[in-house]
Amino acid sequence: MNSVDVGSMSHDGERGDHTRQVLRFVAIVAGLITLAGLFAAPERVWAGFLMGFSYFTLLALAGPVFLAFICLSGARWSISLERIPAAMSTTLPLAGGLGLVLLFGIHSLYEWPHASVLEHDVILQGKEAWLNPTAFALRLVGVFLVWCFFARKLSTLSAQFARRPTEGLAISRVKWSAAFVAVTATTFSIASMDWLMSLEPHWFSTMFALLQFASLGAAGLAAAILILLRQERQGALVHPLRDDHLHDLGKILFSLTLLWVFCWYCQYMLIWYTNIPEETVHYTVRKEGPWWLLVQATVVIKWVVPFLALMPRSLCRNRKVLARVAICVLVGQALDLFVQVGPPLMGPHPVVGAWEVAPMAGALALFFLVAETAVARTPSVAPNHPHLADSLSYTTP
Amino acid sequence: MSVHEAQLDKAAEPQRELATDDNPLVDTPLITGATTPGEVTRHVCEPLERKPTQLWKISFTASLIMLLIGVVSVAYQLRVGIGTWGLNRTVGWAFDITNFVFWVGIGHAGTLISAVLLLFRQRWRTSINRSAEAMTIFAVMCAGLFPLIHMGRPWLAHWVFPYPNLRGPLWVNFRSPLLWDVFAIGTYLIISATFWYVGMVPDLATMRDRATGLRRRILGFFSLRWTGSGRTWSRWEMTCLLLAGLATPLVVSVHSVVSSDFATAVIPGWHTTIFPPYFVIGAVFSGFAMVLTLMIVARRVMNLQGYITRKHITAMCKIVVFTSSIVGTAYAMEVFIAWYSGSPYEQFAFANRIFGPMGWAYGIMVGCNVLVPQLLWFKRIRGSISAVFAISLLVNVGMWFERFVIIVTSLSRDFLPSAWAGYAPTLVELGTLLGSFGLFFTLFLLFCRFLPMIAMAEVRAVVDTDHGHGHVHDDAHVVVNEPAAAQRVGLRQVGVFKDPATMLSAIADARSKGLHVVDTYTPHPVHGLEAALGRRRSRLPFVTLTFGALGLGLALWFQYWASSTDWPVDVGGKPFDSLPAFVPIAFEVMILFAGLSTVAALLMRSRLRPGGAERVAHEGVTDDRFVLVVERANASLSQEEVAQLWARHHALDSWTEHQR
Repeated sequence: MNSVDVGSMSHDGERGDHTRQVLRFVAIVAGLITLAGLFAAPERVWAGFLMGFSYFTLLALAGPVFLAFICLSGARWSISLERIPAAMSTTLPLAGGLGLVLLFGIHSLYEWPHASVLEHDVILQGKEAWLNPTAFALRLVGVFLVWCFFARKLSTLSAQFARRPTEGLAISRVKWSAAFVAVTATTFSIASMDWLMSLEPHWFSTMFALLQFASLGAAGLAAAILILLRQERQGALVHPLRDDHLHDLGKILFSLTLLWVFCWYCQYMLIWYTNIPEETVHYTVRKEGPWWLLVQATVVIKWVVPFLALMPRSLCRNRKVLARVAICVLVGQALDLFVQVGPPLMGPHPVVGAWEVAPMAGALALFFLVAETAVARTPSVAPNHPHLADSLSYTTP
Repeated sequence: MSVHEAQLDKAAEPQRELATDDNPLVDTPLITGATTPGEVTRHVCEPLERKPTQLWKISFTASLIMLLIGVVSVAYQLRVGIGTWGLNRTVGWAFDITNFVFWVGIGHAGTLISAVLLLFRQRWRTSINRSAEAMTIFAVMCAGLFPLIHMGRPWLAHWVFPYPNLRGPLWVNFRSPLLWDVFAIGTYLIISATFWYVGMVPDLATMRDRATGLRRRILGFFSLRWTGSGRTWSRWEMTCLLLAGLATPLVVSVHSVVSSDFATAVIPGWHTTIFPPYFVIGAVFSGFAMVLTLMIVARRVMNLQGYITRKHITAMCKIVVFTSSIVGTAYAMEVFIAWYSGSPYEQFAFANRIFGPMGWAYGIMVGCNVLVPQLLWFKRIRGSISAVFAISLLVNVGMWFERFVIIVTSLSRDFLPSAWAGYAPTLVELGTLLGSFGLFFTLFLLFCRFLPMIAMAEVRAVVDTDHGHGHVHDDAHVVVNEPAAAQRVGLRQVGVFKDPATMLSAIADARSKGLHVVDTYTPHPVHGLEAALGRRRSRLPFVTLTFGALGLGLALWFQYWASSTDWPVDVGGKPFDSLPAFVPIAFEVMILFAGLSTVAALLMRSRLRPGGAERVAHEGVTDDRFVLVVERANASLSQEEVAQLWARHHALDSWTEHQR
């Protein structure tokens, strides 16, 4: 019995390394293609770059967000899994670096920095105080400084607490987490409206930031689950992963995708219902031809599939199913970004080629590479943690 | 009694609790008022068996007077006409829709506490969920009153339901958010009331077993022949879990639908896409404030400081400050997007809201909902009951004004300046608002007087865990092959235990000796019992799924058929088959079918039906005794050996019973 386990584990370990090689290959090749594209086809590559950057940032920011919510909720079942979000947090500075690169692309991506457009557009003139390159850059740098500061603080506290759990550390973790959540509500709203909503600078939706936040939760958790399962296959987990942990992760993924579709439906339904031209512009282009198919596919892949697959208890506790659902959510997120970024830049016909795919694939591969390397460096919870036993013997009621 | 009071004093001692409350690493008991399940029964039931207190009588009379004022106002309005409501101004339905949304909002915390906190496994919910759910139901009833009165001819209220009628194939308009309201509020009321009642059945049985005469017969009728059987408990727990799973999206949908009353209109300040989640969070916020207000009073009046402790109040404060911050963020987002939109109408609507003639109302709203609750970030404020009470009252006021601001400021100055008007409520409007508070408090006081305010069964389980009786050893989970039924001897052996742990160890022992466990009878669900008995999980979820899917399909089909085939009517230029508009009702019907069918399945499967004075396995089985019934299979053990087994596990009592 034992020997079989060891055998299959080492075999899986090799497969894990194989995946890592693929990730490394994708990251390098996609990076080179993106770099080449900046000169060969800048317009198209910048669209891809925006998607890749947004995706990377969502996943990276999910790390500190999860850490904060784990602290605030006082959850115990997840104590043994805390390394994963802590490791994801360490990718935020890299996201900030990509953000600095994005600043060079704003003239290709957005219409509002162009003086020629502004000249004839009264509405955009009214927004100039907010939508101008300087303010955009300052806000971008500002939100990343805030996020990186908090992410570092939270993951440092998490690591210190893992080594030596004391009451003082526990309390200061709760305080920093509460502060982070409060700050993120504002900074994330600003960021998502800047980077994505201003692609269509005339359009506006108060729901937009919340919709992106739901995406952050769903996609971030899907990524965390994948990292966790890969760690387990490589035998790198210090604490064993129970079916009950998977069950809870699955249920949270289920509810986050549900939250996403709730926000999506509310925004769509209210704009469809009132039919106000200023607002319908966002959907008129997306309800035509291939874009509409892609939008529908997004809803199916990002919500219907996870909803049906994670409903039965037995499937929720199944590693293979959970991993596939997580991949499905990640694919759905890529599609979601594509249908948000695509129409204003590509017009009525979606364009998919190496220039669009490479930056996004590269960003994803880079995220997993960096995050997984960081997991190895993150200390696991000390055995004297007062609630570690609760987490290790956790059983879903 | 003196012991009880001593414990209350200990619970009220602020220093000790503050010191431990904030240390996340130390577990302190959640319930300080009781250490045994029996104490819970006594503390909750005894006040209900005595005559009402002076304080209760005074409050009840005051509430009745308020209710009476409401009845007079409504009667006057029905006699004279809805003009007495101030409907002759262009602002129109300002007051009744404000009150409607206010009460629906209040009605959100109850289900949130009972359902969402159950899904999140927050044990502190057990002390307050019963009264919060009662509050929910009464608040939703108050809410329903306003559209009903506003119809002007409430005796024709049944016209809002889609049924075959004499008015030709004229169906209700399925694309109207007002009809979505009918389905959402109706489903919410039915499911919340069902959830509340199902949760209360075990407690009614406890009260039944303490009562005599007519009281016992009435309680017997409503406690549905509850015996505390282990199989029933496991189905009951599954039902609660399923209802919680259904009620959670239901809560979200209800206030989303209410928000659509505004957000689907083209009035600036009403139409904004964030309204559904923003209303839901606002409702949770106001609901928790109301729960805080009521609980702070109730724990004092009903002597429940040991059950609704400072820990509970702190937990609720944290939710209030969290939701308050979200509400504040949404306010900021609305104002920012109004500016960002570049639409002069949006910009005017918000400038008017903040700086216009009713700017004072906006000030009250922001002050009470966003600024004041921020004080709860401070431990010292959270620790002061009077400060928390004051803040909770202010939030109630602020949330009423939120609805007032949204509704009145947008309508009083809309697109047509010639129609601009001020607004002041008429006496009839004020009387009706007062009457709704009267109805709410009257019902709540009746509830406190006649029904168990604390969910005894669930609190017993918490007490049991807190005080260390409930620890289940892994060796209790022994799976033994059951001998065939034919070999069983028809003698049943009954053992009575004082806590679940001893009963579970007796079960493990008995099963390893080849005894067949017939059933267990316990005052609260025992964790690890199903595993100890090797029983499979309840199959109730299949019922929920099947009927949920049926309800969804039926509602979708019916809306399509009625709106596009039977009587196609062009509504606002929308297509006949308007899927986005059919989603809310389809969702509500799905939840209604799923919830009711699950409860029906529980009642049928566990044979729960109105009964009389039930005979239970042991008189303490709904109080603090744990009864195990086994059958000697295969004649493996003699009667004496079974008696020895009982003794080994410290059975308090045991006997042999002939099979009926």
